[in-house]
Amino acid sequence: MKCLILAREANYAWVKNYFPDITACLLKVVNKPLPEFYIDLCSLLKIEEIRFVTDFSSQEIEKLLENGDRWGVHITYNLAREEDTIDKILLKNNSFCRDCDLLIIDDSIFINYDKDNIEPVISAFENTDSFDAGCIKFLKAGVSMKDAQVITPQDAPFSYSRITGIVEYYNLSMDILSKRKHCFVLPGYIHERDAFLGSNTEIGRGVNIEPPILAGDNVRFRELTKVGPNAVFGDNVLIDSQTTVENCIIYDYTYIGSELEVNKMIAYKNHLISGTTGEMIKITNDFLISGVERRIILSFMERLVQSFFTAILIVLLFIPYMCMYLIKLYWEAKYPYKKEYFIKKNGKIAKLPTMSQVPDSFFKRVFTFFNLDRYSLLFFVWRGQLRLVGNKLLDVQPKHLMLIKDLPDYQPGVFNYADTMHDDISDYDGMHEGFYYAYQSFGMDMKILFRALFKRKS
Amino acid sequence: MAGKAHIEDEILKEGDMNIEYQKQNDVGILIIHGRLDAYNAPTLKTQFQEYSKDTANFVFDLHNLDFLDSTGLGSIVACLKAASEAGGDIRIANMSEKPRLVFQITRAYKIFEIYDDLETAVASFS
Repeated sequence: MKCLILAREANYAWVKNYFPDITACLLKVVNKPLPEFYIDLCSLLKIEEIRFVTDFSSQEIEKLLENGDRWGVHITYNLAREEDTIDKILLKNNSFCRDCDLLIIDDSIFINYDKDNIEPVISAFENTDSFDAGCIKFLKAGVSMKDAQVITPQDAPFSYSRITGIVEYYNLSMDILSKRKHCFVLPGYIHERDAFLGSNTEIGRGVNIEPPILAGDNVRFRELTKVGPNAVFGDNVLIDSQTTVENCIIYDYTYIGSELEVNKMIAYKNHLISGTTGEMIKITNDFLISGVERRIILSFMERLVQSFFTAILIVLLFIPYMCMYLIKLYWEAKYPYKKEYFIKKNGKIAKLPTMSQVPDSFFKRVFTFFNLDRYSLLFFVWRGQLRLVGNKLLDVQPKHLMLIKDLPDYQPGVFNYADTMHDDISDYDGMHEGFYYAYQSFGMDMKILFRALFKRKS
Repeated sequence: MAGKAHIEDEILKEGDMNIEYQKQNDVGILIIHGRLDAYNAPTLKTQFQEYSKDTANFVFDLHNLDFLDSTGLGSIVACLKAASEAGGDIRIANMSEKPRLVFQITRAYKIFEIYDDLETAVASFS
C-alpha cells in the first residue's frame, strides 16, 4: 500500500490569521508537526511509499521530512494546482498511484489511532473494499475513484478530526495531552510521569510541575512557577518566576513574565489567543515578548555590510558623476525627475530619482554604463530606505502591488537580480523576484552586485 | 533536496542544452537535456517556434534537465504563451528535483499542468 497526502492551502487558511510566520501545514499539534503524525501512521500500517502533493510550495515540508529515511519510508513530492480535483491529482500522479493499494489523506485532519492497538486497523484495510470516507479515501489497486464506495467517516478503519479553526486546534491539542498522549509518539528527551521534556530544560527552585505537560528544547521554568496540567511549551521558552501556566500552548521563542496567571490560552510571539473563543489580543508591553533580538542583531550586521559597500560605491562613482552633473541637471529640468516606487511589502511608497523618462542617447548610455543613474539612490541605502542589493524597484501600479503582496518578502535594492538577467520576461515579473527570495544570501548578493556593476542590463 | 548553496553556485554559470523532439498522437514531446538557463533560453524559444508549426499541444519532459533558472523557466512560460495563442497547451512531465524546486519558488506550478509520467501527460490531451 502507498499513501498520497494532499495538502491544500485553502484548508489551512485559518492558520495564517493566527500564526503568520508558520508554514501552515506544518502546524504543530502537541509540539509535533501534523505531517509527522501521518508518517507515524503510515509506518504503523507498513506503508513505505508516501507522496505529498501540495498546491503551494512544499519547500518547508521537504526541509522537515526530507526523503523520509528517519521513519524508514520513502517520501516524494509533487505540485498541483489549487483547482485540481482528486481525480485530476490521481492522474497527475499516475506513475506513483497505479498498480497498488492507495490510502489518500485529503485535508487538514488529525487521524485518531492508537499506536499500541494498530492491528485491527491493518486487518480492516486488508478486508475492506475501496471507499471514500470524505477526507480519508482508500483505493484498491486498479480501482478508480468513481468506483469507490462512499461511506461515513465513522465507518472508516479509523476516525479523524478536522482542524478547521483555532478553537478546534486548541481542543484537539488539550484532548491529546490530557487523554490520549499514550496513543501517539510524542516528542521529548525525558519522559517521566506524563511530563515530556526536551533537552536542556531548566527547572528553578520550588517549581511545581503538574503533569501532563510537554516541553520542547531550551525551556526554563524560573523559581516558584506552576506549570500544568495540560501545558505545551515549544522550544526556547522562558516562564518567569511565580507565574502559573495551565491548559495552555506556548509557542517557540516566547517569554512569559513574572507573577502572571495564564490559563486556556495560546501564546504566540506577542499575541495571546483564547483557546475557548479564538479571540486574539496583541500584547504591546514587555511582559510577553518574542525572541526578536537575534533577528535585530543579524539585520544590523547586514545593514552595516551594505552601508560599507555603498560608501565605497559613492566614493568611486563621485568623479564620473560630477563630470556628468551638468547633463544630469539638464535632464532633470527637461524630463520628470522623480517617480513613485514601492519600498516596503506593506505598500509604502517613496518618490525616487529615476532616468526612465529620459530618451535614449549617447550620454544616457554613458550614464547607465557607469551606473550613474543609480548614484542618487545609493544615499537611500544610507537612510535605510533601500538595500544595496535587493528586489527590483517596482513603480506604483496596481499589478505591482499585487505582485509585492504575493511575494514572501519584498526589500527593494539599488541593484537587483533582474538587472543581471539578460532576458525579456515581462508577463511573469514575479519569477526573478521569487527566485531571488529563495536563494538570497550574502554571497549571492555580492555576485549580483558585481555582475550588475559590470554587465548590467541597460 | 538540492542544497541552496549548490544551486546558488550554479546560478550564473553557462552550459549545454540539448532538445530531443518526438511526436505522439499529435502531441509534440520535447525532452530537454542539460541546462536551461539565460544562455540557452533563446535556443528553446527558437526551436519551439519551429516545432509549433507541426502541432499546438506539447509535453515538456524534464527528466534529464539538470539545471533550470528563472530565465530558463521564463522561456518555458513564453512557449506556453505561444502555444495558448495557437489554441494549444504545454504540459510538464517527469520533473526531476531541481526543476521542481524552481517551479515551486517561482510558483510556476500554478500555470502548468504537471504530470509524473510522460504517457499520462500525452494521454491527458486526448
